[in-house]
Amino acid sequence: MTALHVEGVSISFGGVEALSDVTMDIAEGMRRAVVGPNGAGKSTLFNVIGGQLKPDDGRVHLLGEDVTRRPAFQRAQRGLARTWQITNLFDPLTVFETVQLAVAATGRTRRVFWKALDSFADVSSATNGLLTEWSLWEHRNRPVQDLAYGQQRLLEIAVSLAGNPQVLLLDEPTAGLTPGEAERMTTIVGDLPRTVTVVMIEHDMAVAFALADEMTVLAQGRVLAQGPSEEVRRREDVIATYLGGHDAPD
Amino acid sequence: MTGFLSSLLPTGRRRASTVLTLAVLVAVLFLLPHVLSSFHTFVATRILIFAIFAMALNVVFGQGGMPSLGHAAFFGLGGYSVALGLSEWSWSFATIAVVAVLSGLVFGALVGLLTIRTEGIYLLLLTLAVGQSLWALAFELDITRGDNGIAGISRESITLGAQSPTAFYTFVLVVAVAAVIVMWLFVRSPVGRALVGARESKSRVEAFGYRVWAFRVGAFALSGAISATAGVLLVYLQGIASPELLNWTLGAEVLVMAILGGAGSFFGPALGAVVVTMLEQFVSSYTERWTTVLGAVFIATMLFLPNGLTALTARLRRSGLTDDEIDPLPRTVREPA
Repeated sequence: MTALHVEGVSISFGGVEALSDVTMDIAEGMRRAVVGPNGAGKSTLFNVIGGQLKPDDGRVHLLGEDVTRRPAFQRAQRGLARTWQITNLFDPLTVFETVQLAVAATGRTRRVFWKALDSFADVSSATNGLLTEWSLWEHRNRPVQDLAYGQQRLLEIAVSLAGNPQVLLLDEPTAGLTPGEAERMTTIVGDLPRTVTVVMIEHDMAVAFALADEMTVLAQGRVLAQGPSEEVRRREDVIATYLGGHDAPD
Repeated sequence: MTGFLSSLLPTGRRRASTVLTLAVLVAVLFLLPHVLSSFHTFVATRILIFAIFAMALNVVFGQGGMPSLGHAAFFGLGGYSVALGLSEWSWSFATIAVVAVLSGLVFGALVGLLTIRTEGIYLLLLTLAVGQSLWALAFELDITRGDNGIAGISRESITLGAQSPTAFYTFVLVVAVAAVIVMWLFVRSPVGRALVGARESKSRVEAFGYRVWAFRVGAFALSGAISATAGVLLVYLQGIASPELLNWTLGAEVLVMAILGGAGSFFGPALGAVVVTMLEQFVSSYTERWTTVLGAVFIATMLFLPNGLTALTARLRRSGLTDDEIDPLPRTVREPA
């Protein structure tokens, strides 16, 4: 089954075409890397898929349902989660409160306005589990703004997975990380269960080729090439346009 | 019932000290009018009313990150519900209370709809415009008797024997405790926490699956209803409803209370209400320019305590704790096995 189907998506900002007739199909459980030079429209594509932007043209189907006109929160309720290129968290909230809020978004708890969040034992228990699983337990009482950047990236992925999404969009998960942190992040993303379809924007081609089964290459808002990573990396036009005339790293 | 009471209280190691502090505070507040003169009881009642109003404003401003300069509109709606209900339609107190709360709730929800498309300074100006429209209506309409307002409002219609200054103070205190409980539950609920999250990053909270726009409308509705309740109480206290109840200057004064006390904390605006109302009542007996003194206090506070006066109490509390005792965990958090 197709987890994500983007069909003929176009969007312009003040006459500048950011995406033009972008189409892609991603099957359930696949890892797809979206690569391309700066300004290629990668983050814009994520914002269209995530519901942060409405396309001028085209459709977005999530798990078989047309979600083009659905707002971001409804897409999340239907199994879509995402991270941002620049960490997007709540600076003054503690790590515990942040994870707790993500956990509470699943199910009916998210509509409760008459009972303290701390009194939901199941939410607290799931929060504790996530904090332990992601090695964030010792940081639970620290405000998010006090965490090192690498820990913030980790926390962002942890909270994105809190609702057990079926499709996860990762916008440059290794950007700004030290080589050691990037290696750890690569392992973490690589170890994600195949029940989660992962679409990631990645500038580090070594990481992209290590993780992705498939690849979409964007250039100036258009799809230059897409398909299995091994095929895409050997295409002449991709090597010339994006890989600077050099073969991709192994 | 135990579960309900339990959910009202903070969690962790602060629980016992908070219970004790609140118990002592409420006991002192209930005893206060028995040791105060009638004038000071009047001032204390006024402080309580403005504490309710400032805390209601802070639900949208401090917790939700939605600034409003038009909150006097809700306050005035409550005030005029009393004045018009008594002078024009001879309503009972129960009818007045229901109409006031509902009008604040509905008008609050309508104003809250503005937050779907606006934020920050634009929202501030839009709420100002909405509030001033109501002020102009009260100023122009015959039924509201223009600038003179509607005077001669007595507390006779209030049941529960709340006519005397002491009894009315107690009545206001009971309403204040109820309002605080409602707001406390709201801001600590999943919806309230999502509002705080959306203040920091709306896109992230929506990406979790929260319907942020509805929560913001709901927060305005709750804030409007409680602000209207405060307006009802003030008109009963001072016996007159005039367009000043709806004016932006009152909205700005309450905004100053919230910021001065500490918009980032739940009780901060109440502390701001104490300081501003005391300044207003006592400094104005020496000089008409009490707002100049308020301005100086405000500037000094912002310079040395940018997070408001409650930051001082937080600082003092932290100085007496070990690192491990700071920011204790909710009671439901236990070290995993």
